[in-house]
Amino acid sequence: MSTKNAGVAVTLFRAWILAWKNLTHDVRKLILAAAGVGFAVMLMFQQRGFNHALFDSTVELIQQLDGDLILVSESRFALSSEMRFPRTVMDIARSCTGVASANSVFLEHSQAKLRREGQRERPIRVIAFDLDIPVFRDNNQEIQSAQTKLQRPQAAIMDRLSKENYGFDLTNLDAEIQTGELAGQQIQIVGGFTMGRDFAHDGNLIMSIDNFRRYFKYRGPDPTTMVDLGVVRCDPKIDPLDVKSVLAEQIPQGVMVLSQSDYVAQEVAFWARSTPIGMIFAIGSIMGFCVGVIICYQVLATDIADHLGEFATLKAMGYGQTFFAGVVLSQSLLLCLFGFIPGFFATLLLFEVNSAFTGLIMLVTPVRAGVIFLFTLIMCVCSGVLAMRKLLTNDPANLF
Amino acid sequence: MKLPLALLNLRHNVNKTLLSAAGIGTAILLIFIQLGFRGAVENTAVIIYQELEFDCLVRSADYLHFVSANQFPQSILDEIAGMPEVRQVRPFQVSLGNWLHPRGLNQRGVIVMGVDPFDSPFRLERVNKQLSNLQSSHQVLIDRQTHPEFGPANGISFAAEDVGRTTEVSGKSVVIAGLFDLGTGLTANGAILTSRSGFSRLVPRTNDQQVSLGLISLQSNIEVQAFVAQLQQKFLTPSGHPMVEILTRDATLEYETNRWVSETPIGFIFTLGVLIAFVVGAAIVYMVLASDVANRTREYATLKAMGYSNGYLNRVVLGQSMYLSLFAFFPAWGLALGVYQLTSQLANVPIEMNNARVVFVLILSLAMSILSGGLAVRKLWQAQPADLF
Repeated sequence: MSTKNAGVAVTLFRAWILAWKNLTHDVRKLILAAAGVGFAVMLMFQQRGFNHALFDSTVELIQQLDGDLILVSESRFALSSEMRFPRTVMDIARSCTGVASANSVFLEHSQAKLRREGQRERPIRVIAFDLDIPVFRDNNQEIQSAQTKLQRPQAAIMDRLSKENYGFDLTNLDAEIQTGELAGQQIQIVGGFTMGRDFAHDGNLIMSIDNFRRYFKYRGPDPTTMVDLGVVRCDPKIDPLDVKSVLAEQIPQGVMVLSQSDYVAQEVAFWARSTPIGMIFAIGSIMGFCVGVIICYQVLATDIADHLGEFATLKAMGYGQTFFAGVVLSQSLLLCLFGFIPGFFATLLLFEVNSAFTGLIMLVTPVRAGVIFLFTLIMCVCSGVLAMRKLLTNDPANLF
Repeated sequence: MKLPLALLNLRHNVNKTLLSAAGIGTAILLIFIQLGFRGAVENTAVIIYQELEFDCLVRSADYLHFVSANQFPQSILDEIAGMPEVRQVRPFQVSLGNWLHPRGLNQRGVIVMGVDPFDSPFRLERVNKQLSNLQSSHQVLIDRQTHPEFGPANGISFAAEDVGRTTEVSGKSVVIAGLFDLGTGLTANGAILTSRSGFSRLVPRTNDQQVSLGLISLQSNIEVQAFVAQLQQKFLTPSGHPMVEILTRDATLEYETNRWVSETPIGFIFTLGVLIAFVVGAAIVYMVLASDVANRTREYATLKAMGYSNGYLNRVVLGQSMYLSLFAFFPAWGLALGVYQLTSQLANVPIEMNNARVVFVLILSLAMSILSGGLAVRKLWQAQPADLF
């Protein structure tokens, strides 16, 4: 038994060597084949990438929040829908055991119209919170470093990834103060931060709560009575899940307590369900896969056809089915590797370009790259199996 | 005597030809699909505008897009209505509201439109007939194509059985008084129609003195372009800035399509998709031809030795690639129709084929084959007959 296994291993090893030689012996052909498979890889990445980008961009604000739990109105079906809950809920949250801090985030979009002189007014998302207790991760300390400037009346900082058509010079946010009009009153842009735009929002501003009150008087005598998001940080000694269940009991009906990842998932689920995006890009990815199978099959089938004489000789010499199957499969696996690597790097480049054009966040995470690699593998094996049949069913004599 | 060598080459190994055509066909299909998606964006962008009756349109200088139209004073429309060139002026209100699921489960963004039920701005008889159901400011009509998440009684789409149900829009109670059929576009998954007084009730910070859009129909002998220019001169602020935007019908539709295609990421995504599909297609054709040329090097060398020119070889290879593209084009076209239908159903977006697109893709396919055929044949030019053996 073990000798037989060893025999198979030797056969497969030889098959692998032959596959390697078949592929590498004509470098130009190899480059062409790798480019073909690479294209298919890029196509799949691209389609999945856009799909992810549209969702990633939508949840970027939630992702940047620095908290363990998030409070949000149950009616807020999407982050962009302006459903709020009373600020008193935040006081209740603060008094719960295990809660280290609970900070209110105020968002305004529909009435936050920003105008640069000579331009059309366009809605922008305004984000306000207590600047002494940062609610964002602020990885580059952009918000923190603007803190003093933001205390001034009429001051705000602007998202560097906002759309250009607001009319502000986004590359020069830190160097000079740019003025405009927000909700009919003067506003001074005193710096920049980085967040990104999405389907519903073309840009973002951050300001202090005092300034927020000044611009959005329409929200009531005290414009901050209703909160958009509550960011709760838990006592590090206590499991956030326990705090969550305490909070869920204490706060009134109509307000949800969610972990950050649950909130992200809920938001993505909304966009996936109520827009055709998911379906459109799924079809795009399937097409990429099909193109890949066809290209890969063509490469393998041509190669087999070209080496038919050699294969027949080997068959006549007594090499068995396992060997030939091994050669073709090894060749398809090698193609997968040769195609995936350039395809992957081309994708990174393409994503840079996409990001620059659309302002969407285009990310390749290890998991996403892994998924595409798996599909590439399946794609190559499928075409390997298809191409192999011809070789296996033929008699050595017929091959000549 | 010249043989139809391009065709004979393709007939020589039918299996191989079919395989090659399948590869190219997939790329063509891909182009069709990406263009189809892009076309769907263009069509849905103007889905409501197209059914409105107007020769030219007045809107706020801060107009962004259909449901973010902003407001301008009604008095401007009253002034226009008095001009002799004008047959009719109809105010049209539009905004976004929040629709509450009739069973109070959750809310969704909805397009709210306010019109005069007795002087409908719509071109569609089937919509106008329904407008007489709007008798009080509590009543609304809902679009049949509204997404099922809005809570139709049968769980699939709003239908006759929903008439009489009550719910809330932006916190105000409403009664469904009827249905209409327009389609909702890309900004929201649902749309409702109400009277102007209903609109002021549902949409905060609006009143009778402000309107979203002014739809103007002209007397039949009036030149629209010139009239629009005249209006633009007329309505200027003291500092010389336009008080409102005034556009012809064509300009209005073009602006709206353009906004969706070039100002949102969606248009860019699909344009890029077409480009990538084209490159993939060209790569496939090139691979097919390059391997075919390589396999027949000896035959071509013989032809060259016999005195056939490079021009002849060009024609053979290019001919072969164009035949391949044509063979691939027709099945890809047929498949594209199938994919359009499937996607329309699965994704609930209308994707339709039009002649211009068919011609455009045919041209792209031929361009793809000429490009890659040209690349593949180069190898033969440089070669001397003797080298080829």
